[in-house]
Amino acid sequence: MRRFIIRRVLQSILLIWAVMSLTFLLINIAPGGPDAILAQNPKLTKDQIAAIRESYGLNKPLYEQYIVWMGRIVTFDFGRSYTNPFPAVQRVFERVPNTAELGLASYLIGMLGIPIGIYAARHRGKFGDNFIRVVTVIGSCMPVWWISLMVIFILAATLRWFPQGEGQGGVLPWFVNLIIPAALLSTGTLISFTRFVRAETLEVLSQDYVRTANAKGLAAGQVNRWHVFRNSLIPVVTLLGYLLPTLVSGAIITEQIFQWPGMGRLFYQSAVSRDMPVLLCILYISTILTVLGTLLADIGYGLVDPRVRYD
Amino acid sequence: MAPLLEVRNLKTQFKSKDGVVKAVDDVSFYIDKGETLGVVGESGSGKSVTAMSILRLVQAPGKVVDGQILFEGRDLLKLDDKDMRKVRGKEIAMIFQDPMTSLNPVLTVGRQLSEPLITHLGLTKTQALKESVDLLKMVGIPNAAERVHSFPHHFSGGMRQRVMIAMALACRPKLIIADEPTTALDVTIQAQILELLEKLQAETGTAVMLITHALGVVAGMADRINVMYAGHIVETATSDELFDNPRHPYTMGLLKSIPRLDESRRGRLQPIKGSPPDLLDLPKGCPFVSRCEYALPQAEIILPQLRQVPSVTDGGRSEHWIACHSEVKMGDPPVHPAQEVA
Repeated sequence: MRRFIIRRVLQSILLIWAVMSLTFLLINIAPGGPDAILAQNPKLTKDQIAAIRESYGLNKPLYEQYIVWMGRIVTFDFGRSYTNPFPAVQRVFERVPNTAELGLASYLIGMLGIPIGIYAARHRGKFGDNFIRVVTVIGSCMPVWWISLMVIFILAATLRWFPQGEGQGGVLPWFVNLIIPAALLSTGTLISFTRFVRAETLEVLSQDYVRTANAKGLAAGQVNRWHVFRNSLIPVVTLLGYLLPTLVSGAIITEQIFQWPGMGRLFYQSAVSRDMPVLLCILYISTILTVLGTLLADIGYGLVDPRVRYD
Repeated sequence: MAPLLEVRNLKTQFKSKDGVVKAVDDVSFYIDKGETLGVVGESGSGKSVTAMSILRLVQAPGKVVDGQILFEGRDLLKLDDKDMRKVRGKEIAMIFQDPMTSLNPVLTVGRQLSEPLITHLGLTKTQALKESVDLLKMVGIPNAAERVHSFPHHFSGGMRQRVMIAMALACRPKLIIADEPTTALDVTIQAQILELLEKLQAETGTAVMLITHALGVVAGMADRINVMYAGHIVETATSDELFDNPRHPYTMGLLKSIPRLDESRRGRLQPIKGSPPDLLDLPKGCPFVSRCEYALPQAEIILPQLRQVPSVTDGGRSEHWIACHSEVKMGDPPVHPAQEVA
C-alpha cells in the first residue's frame, strides 16, 4: 500500500509536469498568445512594448522562458498578472474560497443521487423509477447553461423568488444565493450518481450472494446494507474521486452565468483578456486536482474492496 | 408420523411477455426427518424453482400461484415475511450451485458465517466468530482460526463450497436444500463435497434435499429420488428401486445415457433424442410424449397423473410411483423407434 502510494505520487508529479509543459507550449505557440494583446494595442509604442516584454521576461527565447517558468511554478509562483498589478497566484487564491463553497455545496447536492439511485433500483419498473429515469435523461440532454438561464429567467427574473447576482451579508441571503447556482452546477453530478447507483444496485440485486443472504434469513435491512449497498456503492467511491476536478472546470460556465466571483469566472475573464499567468495558475490547480482525484479514487477503491491488490 | 416437509400441489409460474411459464406444475412430494431426497432432472425441469419456492425466494416475475408447503405442519406459504425469515437459515438452509459467486466478496468468511448465528441464535459477535471457527473446522478447512478472517477470494472453489456448507449447517437446520452443490466443481472435489455432506448429515441428523442433474451424484446418497421433467414429477421411488426397476420412459432414458461400471462395454450410451418442450407451449398431454419411444395414443391428450406401481425391491414394499400411461419396463423394445434428430 505504501509503495503503491509512493509510486503513484511520483507518477502524478510526472503527469502534472507533462500536462503543464504541454499547456505552456500550446499557449505560447497559439495565435493570440502572450504577445497578441500587447501588439494589438495602438497606444503602445514599440519601445514600450519591448519594455513590458522585458519586465515579464518575454524577450528571452522560449526554452529559457520555459526553464525559468518551470522553476517558478514548483514554488507556486506564476509571476504578475498581465491585467492587474498583483501576482497571479494571489488573484487566483482570493477566489478559491468562493469556488470551494460553490463546489462543495454542489458536490453535496450531487450526492443526493446515491439515495435517489437506490430508490429507483428498489422500485424498478414502477412509477418512481420511470419518473427518475425520464427526468435524468431529459436533464442530461439539456446543457447546464440553458437550464441555468431558464431558472434565472423563471425563478429570479419573473417570479423574483431568488435574488440575481452575488451573495452578500447574512446567513440566509448567502444560502439563498448559493443554493440555485450550486443546484444547477450539481445537475451533472446528480444525474451521474443517480444513473450509476441505480445500475450498480440492480446489478448487485441479481447477484448470487444476495440470494445467499436472503436464504440465510437475514432481515431485509441487513441484506440491503451489508450485501447490496456495501457492494453497489464500491464504484461510487471512484466516481467521487473522478468528479472532484469537474466541479472546478464545470464551474466556469455556472460562475459566469451567475456572476459568481470564483475561479471559474476568473478563468473566463483571463482567457478573454489573455492573462496567461492567471490562466496557467488556474490550469495548474485543475491539473493537480484531477490527478489528486484519480489518486484518491484508486486508494479509496482499495479501502472499500478487499479484492483490490496494490502490486 | 407426519413428514418433516410436505409439498402439496405446488405451482410456480413466471409471467413473461410471451405467456405464462409453468416452471413447477402441480408438484407434490415429502421429505422425512433425517432423510435424503434426491431430485433429478435436466435444466429447466423445475428442480431449482421447486427449491426456491420452498424457501419463498422465487424472484419476480416468478410466483408461487398455488399449493401448500407444510413444514412441520405449518404452511410456509401462509407465513408473513418476518416469520418466513426465521425459517430461512434456521429451519431450512440452502447450499447453492456456484460457490464462486454465492459468497459476498467484500465481507470476511467469518462475518458471513456469523450472520445467521447472530440473527437466529442471538449470539454475540465474539461468540459467533468462535462458533464460525468451529464450523470451518467441521467442514475440514485447515487453519480455521486464521482463515475465518479471510475473504472469499482467498479460497478455492471447493473450499468456498465447504464454507457454504458450514454456513448452511450453522444453525443446525432440520432440512438442507442443496441445489446442484457439486455442479460447478471439478470431479475430484465433487466427490469430497458429497462425502462431506453425507458425513455431516450422519452427524447432525438433518434431512437433505439434493438437487442435481446427474443421476450418478444421487445414486449413492439419496434414500429416495424424484425425477422431474418439464415442471412435473414423473417418477418417484426409493433409490434402489429406481435404479433396479425404472418405469418411466424418461428415467429409463436417463439411465441409458450414463455409463455404468457394472455393465459390459458392449452396451452403447444412448442419448435421449429431441429436446425438452417449450415451457411456454406445453403439450396438452404428457410433456415427454414427443421424445418418448413408448408413448401410447392417449399420452397425446391426457396428462398422466402419478400412480403407484409394484416395486421389486424391499420385498415389494418400497414405494414406487410413475406418471405414465404405459406399463413398459427397461429393455422393452420401443414402440416408436425414435427418429434421428438432425
